[in-house]
Amino acid sequence: MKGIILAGGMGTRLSPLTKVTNKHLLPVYDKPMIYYPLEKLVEAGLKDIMIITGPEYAGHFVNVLGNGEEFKVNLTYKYQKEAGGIAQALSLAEKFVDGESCAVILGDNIYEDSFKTAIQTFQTGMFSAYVFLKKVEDPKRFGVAEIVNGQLIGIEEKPAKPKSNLAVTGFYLYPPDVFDIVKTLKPSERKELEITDVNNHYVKGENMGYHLLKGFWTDAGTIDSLYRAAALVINSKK
Amino acid sequence: MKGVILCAGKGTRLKELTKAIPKCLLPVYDKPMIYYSIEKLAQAGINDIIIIPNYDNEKLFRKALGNGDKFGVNLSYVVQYKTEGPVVALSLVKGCFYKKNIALLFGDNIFQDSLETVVKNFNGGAHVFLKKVNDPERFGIAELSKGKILSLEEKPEHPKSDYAVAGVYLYDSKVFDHIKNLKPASNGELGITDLNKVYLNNDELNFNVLQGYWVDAGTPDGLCSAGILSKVYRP
Repeated sequence: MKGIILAGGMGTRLSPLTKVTNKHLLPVYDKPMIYYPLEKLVEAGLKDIMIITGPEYAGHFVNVLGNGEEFKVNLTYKYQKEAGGIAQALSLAEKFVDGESCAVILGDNIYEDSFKTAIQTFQTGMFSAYVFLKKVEDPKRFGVAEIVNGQLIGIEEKPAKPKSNLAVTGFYLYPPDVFDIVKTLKPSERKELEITDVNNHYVKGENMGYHLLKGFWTDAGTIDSLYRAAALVINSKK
Repeated sequence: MKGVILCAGKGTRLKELTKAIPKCLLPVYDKPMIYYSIEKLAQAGINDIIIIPNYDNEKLFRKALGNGDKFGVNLSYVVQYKTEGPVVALSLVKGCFYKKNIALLFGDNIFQDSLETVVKNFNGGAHVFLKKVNDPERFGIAELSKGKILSLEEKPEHPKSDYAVAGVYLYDSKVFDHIKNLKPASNGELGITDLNKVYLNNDELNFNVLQGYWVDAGTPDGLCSAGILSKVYRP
């Protein structure tokens, strides 16, 4: 299995903090943000990891992370020329993944749970794809999972009337055919290829696995969530 | 009075955080660290400010801060090429301070008090700002008696008080003559505490105790505390 970290975007919601670098290199307590998703993949046993990032600060990632030696993994970098959504960024990893399955994580998502067991479960072949859900207070802001009799039967993006309080978080496990699925997607209203559409493809196949996160999860893409992420990390160390 | 903000330190205590971002541009809650120093000076009516970055990060400071328009001040930049400490950094800007007083700020010191009154009442000599700390061994320490500073010691093994000298100083333009006569400390650097001692020996060193918080944001925990305090006490 290959690992993919999506670390593009302009980070405009974090201005002026992002005036001189990419948001994924800003501190979350004592480490740059991207260390957290990277260390989660490393801890789950992945050895080949690709970082996909956009214009302007690609070189900063190489300066900070190098070739991955420090983490005992092989790091590969891919340049995303222009923003086109998470699924579009993912499609750039097709050759790198080279017919294997892949674990995809958004570079600004900070998790407490380990992914090790879930990845082992997924690799038995029981499920076509796998998502990680977290109970949230404001599901309207997220992709929301609908679960009936223990089965995930639908994901709605930012619904006005959420069918549950379970948000689909920024970590996904996909089978080798995910790149064929992305090719069939049509751009959404905001002219992006949406990861929710990829996920709903596997939901329709009635074989989508999921895991309910027990520890904290937050994104860190706004001033307040960046601050919250640092506080959560500190608390978890106590 | 003109301002000088020191940002040339390597930030080694922050380890991987400073691999892509210079220390003084790291976030403190919702703003890059150095914004706080610039805003403190601007609020005290100091409109001409010199930023001292190092050779590697000069461009990033220029990119983040520009000419100072958005702060309502004039910013200029003087590069410190070698890591030789704050006193040498200050000596680099001698030419900008003919008969002008100086407010010198360490770019990683985040503090709550306004400088306005002290700057307005500054009448030559030097002025330092003190704050009680739990770990005086880490700082320059002032021994006080009857409202006066008796002695100054840099990182003393046996501190005579727990009043640390903050990284915020006011100097008159004689400071450049004093620097010329300073002798290097045991680590080869010209020390800011030795410089302040010159004013102390001349009986020209004034002080006040900071009422609000003061943080050295140059460590991961200090950086984090600075962010929390800045958020919680935002007026």
